[in-house]
Amino acid sequence: MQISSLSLYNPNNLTEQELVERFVIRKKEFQKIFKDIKSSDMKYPEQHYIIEAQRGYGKTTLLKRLYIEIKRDKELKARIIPVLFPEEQYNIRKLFKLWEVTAKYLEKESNEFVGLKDEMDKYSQGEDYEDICFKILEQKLKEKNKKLILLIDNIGDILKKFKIYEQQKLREILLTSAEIRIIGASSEVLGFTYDYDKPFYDFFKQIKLKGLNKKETVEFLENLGEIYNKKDINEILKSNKGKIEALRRLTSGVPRIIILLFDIFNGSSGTTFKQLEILLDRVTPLYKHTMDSLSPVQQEIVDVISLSWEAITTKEIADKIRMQSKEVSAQLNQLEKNGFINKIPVNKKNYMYQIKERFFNIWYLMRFGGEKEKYKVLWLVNFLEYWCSREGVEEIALKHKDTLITKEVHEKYDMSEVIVNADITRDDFNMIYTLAVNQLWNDRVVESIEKTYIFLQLANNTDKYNKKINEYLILLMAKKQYNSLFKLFNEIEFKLKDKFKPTYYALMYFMKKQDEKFEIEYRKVSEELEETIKEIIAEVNNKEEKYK
Amino acid sequence: MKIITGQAARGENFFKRNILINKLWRKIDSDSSIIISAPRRVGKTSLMRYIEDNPRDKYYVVYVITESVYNENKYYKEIVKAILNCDSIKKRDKVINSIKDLAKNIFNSIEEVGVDSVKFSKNIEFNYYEKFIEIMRSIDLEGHKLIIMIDEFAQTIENIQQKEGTTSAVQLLQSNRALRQNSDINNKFQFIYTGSISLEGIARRMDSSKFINDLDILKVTPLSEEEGKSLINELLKGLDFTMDDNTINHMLSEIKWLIPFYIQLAMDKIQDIYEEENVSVIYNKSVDIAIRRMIEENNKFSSWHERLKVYKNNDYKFIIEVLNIISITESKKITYNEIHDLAVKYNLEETYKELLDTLIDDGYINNDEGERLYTFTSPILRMWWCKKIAN
Repeated sequence: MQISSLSLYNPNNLTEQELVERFVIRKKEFQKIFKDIKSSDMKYPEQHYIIEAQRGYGKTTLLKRLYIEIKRDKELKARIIPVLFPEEQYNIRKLFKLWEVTAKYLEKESNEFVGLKDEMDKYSQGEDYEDICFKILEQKLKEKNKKLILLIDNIGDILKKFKIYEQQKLREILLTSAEIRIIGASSEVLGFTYDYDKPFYDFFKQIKLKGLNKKETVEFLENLGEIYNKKDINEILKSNKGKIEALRRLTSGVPRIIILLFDIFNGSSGTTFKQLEILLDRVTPLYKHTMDSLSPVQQEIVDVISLSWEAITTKEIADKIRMQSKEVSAQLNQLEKNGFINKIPVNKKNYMYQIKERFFNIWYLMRFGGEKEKYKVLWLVNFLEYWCSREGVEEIALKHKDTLITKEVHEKYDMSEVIVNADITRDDFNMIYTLAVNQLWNDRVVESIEKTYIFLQLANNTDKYNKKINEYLILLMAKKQYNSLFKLFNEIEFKLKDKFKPTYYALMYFMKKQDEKFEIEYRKVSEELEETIKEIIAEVNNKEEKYK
Repeated sequence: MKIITGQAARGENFFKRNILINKLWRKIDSDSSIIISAPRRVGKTSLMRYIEDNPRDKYYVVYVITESVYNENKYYKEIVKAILNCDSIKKRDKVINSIKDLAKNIFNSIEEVGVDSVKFSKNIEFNYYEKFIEIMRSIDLEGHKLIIMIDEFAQTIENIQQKEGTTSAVQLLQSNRALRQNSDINNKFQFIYTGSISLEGIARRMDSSKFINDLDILKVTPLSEEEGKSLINELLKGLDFTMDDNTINHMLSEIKWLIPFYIQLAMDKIQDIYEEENVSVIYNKSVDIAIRRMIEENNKFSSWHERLKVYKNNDYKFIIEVLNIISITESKKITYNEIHDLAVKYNLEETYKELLDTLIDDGYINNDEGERLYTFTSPILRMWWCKKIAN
């Protein structure tokens, strides 16, 4: 069980039956495309597709699932032949080669087409060979009354190698021939599909695969539990709810990594941070390979961006590695083109950059960062874990409706009573914290903030109060004390920005209208934080409304 | 009718714009050759394919796309091939026999003339311009007229200009004109040219407008509100959710510049929302989310900015500033006087009117003649511009 589920879940290692049984995610996307295929008579040229997502998101499996379903469907089978291209197609550099390879696979798919490639070969010396190849293919399809669906993985790698002339030619064909339809998949955003000057501008219909959400992740893990006959899977999912959700957010819900999580939760117990460590070990070969594929300069740049974790400008990078901004800029363009980093505009001329695959960034911080960086990750993991384990706001409200819920109550009772009710140990921190909360409820803002400095001081060497401190920070926002809170975040000794990163960005959300610098800061929000920040903003709004 | 967002819409997926179709036929009936002019994604190719699929009596229609053609001979070769393989001609026994004979006579070394294809001999290269004339001279079309629709014609001109220089590119414009004016044969055919880049623009840049000034221009305008409604209702027939009249009106007023592509794109996004949230009735709120998603998907609109980059220096700065001002001011408008003032700022007093006209022709802005106010044609484009370019 230890190593196997990833490889056993690799679509290439599954029988058709297994793949169909294990296909629990991407169902909507599958239905959407399949429904279109089913309802298309292919009398006229049909809409072509590109499925776009980063690696590990399930593109290959989706293509394979479509391939199987077309073959299983009696009605479709009679009129359509699906051809599935393998993931890597290094040999297709020219358009004619695409038709040759198609002929080769088509011969394998159906006896009716045997000899097709030989027929093409007869003309290989001619000038119009590429035209003829397609004509032969098209004519044969017409003759046999069959339509062709090409399922091409990593289609971007193929199209990119084609010269502009070949891209134009292919577009002509796809626009005019009703015999052939392409459903491609690509792990990068293909520039030439949205460049007005390029032939494939807006030509393909894009289906974007996103990371799994909370519900999909649970379904996926349950399905894995069934496959591996883990009877206690529901128990594991229930007792690790917060941990799983925290790790889902950190990994952006990438299905391939969720499979690893399944292994880890079955194989070991421990803190979320410990399980993160194990997960990072598992992805090391993959990420190391990614790193090795870069040039030394690019590695240096990726090192700086990764260790910064937050988006960073060209100039900041150039300063750190002592290179000219121009040179750095050229490398950054290359890295962006290859889908390694994201570009975020600062203003019309300048950009900030961040690592696109967010979990790679965490891997890098933990493997190559110093103590400081590791602590930053630890704090975020802890933050997400308690945030994701918390009861819904409504549940809390219901539970404490007699004590914590209304402003009137706060005015009536001394908060120390609430502490007893809520079963919290009395110590100096709690005492002062409670007072500060109480004063804030009663709009005695200045006094409350004065206390804040004291309780933060008291909590400075421990993380055990982080959850409570965060609640106070949220309350400050609900009371619209944005600038005071910003000042607190800037007190370096408390390291609040590192310890409460999502809350910091929620604050930037509320402040972005005040000044452009906050707006720019807010743009730095990375994918793994988005959901949490949204929830914090909602909680602030909720509190603001309720406790006006 | 299915939602189509990339491919040309054909058959039952084509939204029949009767006014536009009739307008095109009227122009065809008047014997002129035609340019169909409109920015990308407005539906030019779909319109041509409709004409091809539904020819009127006494017309044969041939569709050729020459996007990947880089020299003049290849251009005419594609046309000749298309004529000899034309589906609507092939249905007529007499004509096809005439073509077979023709092909044999004209192309002495033809390898095969079949129902499905004409394959030319591998080794002999003909002068296809001459062959075109010969075919047209001798073909018996039984009183029909041949409409030759050439898609991406301006792209071909640009390809040739890049590869062989301006003289060769102009030569293709000239030879096309010579054919149109060849009284021996021009009663048998008409050309309809179209493409994603403006033929008028490229001819103007090569100082060759005179070679296309005999062409009649058909501008493909956006849909009317009625047409927009009817398109949405057609699409809804094939979808699992419903939209009431209020919601449809709201969507149309948000899109405003009603090109079929925008409507299809918005419906596609609404379908996503329907699938995500499982709501069977769509209201304004979902329409707003759908339109926001359209705007956030940067790539759908960035071309509007990209293609302005053909303008250089002050021309470019002037255009961008005009558009920026419209997109960010509260009234979402700019007055003619303000534009004039900007023209002075950029020393463009002599030429700014032409720039302004191009912006109108290309669908960026429109003006209210009476008030001399200029606004974005599409609020969606304005929102996108404001968010991504002006700020």
